Amino acid sequence: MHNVNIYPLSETALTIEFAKDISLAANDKVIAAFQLLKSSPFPGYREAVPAYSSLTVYYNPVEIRRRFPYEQRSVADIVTDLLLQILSESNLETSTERTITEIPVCYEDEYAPDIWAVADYCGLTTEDVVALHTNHLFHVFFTGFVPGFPYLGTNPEPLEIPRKKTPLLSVPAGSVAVAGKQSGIYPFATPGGWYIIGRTPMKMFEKSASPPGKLKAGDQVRFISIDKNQYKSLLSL
Amino acid sequence: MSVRIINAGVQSSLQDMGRTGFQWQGVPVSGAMDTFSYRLANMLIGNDVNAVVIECTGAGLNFVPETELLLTLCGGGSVLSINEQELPSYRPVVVKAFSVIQLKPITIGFRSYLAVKNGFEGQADLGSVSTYVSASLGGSNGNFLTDGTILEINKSVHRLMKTPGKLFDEQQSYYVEGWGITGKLFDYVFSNQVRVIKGPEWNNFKEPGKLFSGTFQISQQSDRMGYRLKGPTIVPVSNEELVSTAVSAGLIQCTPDGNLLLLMADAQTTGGYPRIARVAAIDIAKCAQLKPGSEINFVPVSAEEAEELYLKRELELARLKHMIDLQYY
Repeated sequence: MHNVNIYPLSETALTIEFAKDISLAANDKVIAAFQLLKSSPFPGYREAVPAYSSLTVYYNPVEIRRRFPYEQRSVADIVTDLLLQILSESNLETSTERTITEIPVCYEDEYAPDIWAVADYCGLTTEDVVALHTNHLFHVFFTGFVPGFPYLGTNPEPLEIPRKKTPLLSVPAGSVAVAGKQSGIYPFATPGGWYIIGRTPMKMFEKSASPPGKLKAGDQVRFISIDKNQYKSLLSL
Repeated sequence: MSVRIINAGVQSSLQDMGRTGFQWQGVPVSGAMDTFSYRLANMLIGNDVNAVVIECTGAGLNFVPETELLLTLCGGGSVLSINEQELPSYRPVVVKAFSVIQLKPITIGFRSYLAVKNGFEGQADLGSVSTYVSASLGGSNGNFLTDGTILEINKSVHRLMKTPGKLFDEQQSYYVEGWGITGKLFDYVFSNQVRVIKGPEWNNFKEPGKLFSGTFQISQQSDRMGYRLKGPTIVPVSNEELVSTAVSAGLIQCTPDGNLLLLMADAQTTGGYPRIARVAAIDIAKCAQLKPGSEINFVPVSAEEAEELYLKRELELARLKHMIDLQYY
């Protein structure tokens, strides 16, 4: 029996919390539960949203009430019980097949405005930062914040720095950044509070693609260092 | 069949019920901020439930239909006017081709929904025309409406209204149907008493009750993503950061400075700030009708009560739709 806490997020959503902290084990369960619900959606299921250690399930309460018309239980309780039952019938193991995506990143100063600050804080040289960041297999915990933004972890030690106190009003699209023990990639020019250590010419979100995001929960990522000229030529593709 | 936008007003956008199925990729649902008024508008003119409308923020929109057009306006913040004559809201109206129609301001409410027969055509992305400017999805080329835009109207002939033969004579620019829906249905939308349920992190706060005893105001830093509120600061018991989890419209987050942020239609899909409360689903429409500078008061309601109110309203809307449908073939 999986140890979960299910709580309502709204009249049309419940959150299944697998853990209160971040871990690969918890995230694996989130992804397994997500795949399970997507492959056999219960009547009234709308969509589900994975996060680090939780899966939020959106549903149509009218549809649920229609199927359980004489119930004393609230719709939220009916769906909670339904989810607990679905979870208990599965061992929540994810498939071992993981897509590994290589992401080219230019770590040169022009595209990495915060790489010196990060190097200083972590007691490293900028070359160390690049070596650490590129010699590592990252796990995609989930995509959120804005379309296509991946939450990648866990950074190799000692690459760890708290979020900026004052976020930048606009971070260039493609910026690769770090905060806490995580790495992320800004798909669009948006405000951002993470430290920018590079930029990728790869498009992280394309509405015509299926799925539209380049990365999804459960994928794995390797960063490849490229120079300015390679960046420019890849960008124009 | 088209409509020429003479003046687009401020933040007028094409919206439908929203973009579902992609929140897992960080794409918010977006859609009409006041779904109640949006749904009534489409219902009144016999449209599909998900027909595309123009969401108007305040007044200012000016447009000219290039053909005779059945339309309606539902919501607050503005009323339709032709040649300085005010048209009734919440009623189907047929307007003459090439009339100049303006939205004039009224003091009650903030957002209104202009629905035309068959709905507008717009950029359909990921299954919806709802406008989400940050990722250029939907809308008019991924953006709000601009002056001079020509909006096409869906050509599919659908559910004609049962009306007498000739609608206009030379002097008239419009025709109003004899029937309408009672104002009592939507009075509740125009109030600043917002019902909320205690949030998942209610117990993480030192004095969460300040949410009910304090007075809050919607600041100017408010838009479709969310409303920043001004008022008493509410401090969490510890500064420990929460692990990011999914969030949705209606949630009230507490940012590190102790101020509140009410998430709305274009809010990001995940977040890590503690959530002190969530607006009851049926009162999100109320929030959409409050303009920056307005006072907003929170009153507690239980989760069970909020759910019952939601289901009750869905039943009312279904009944209303059946009745209105009798006016259409």
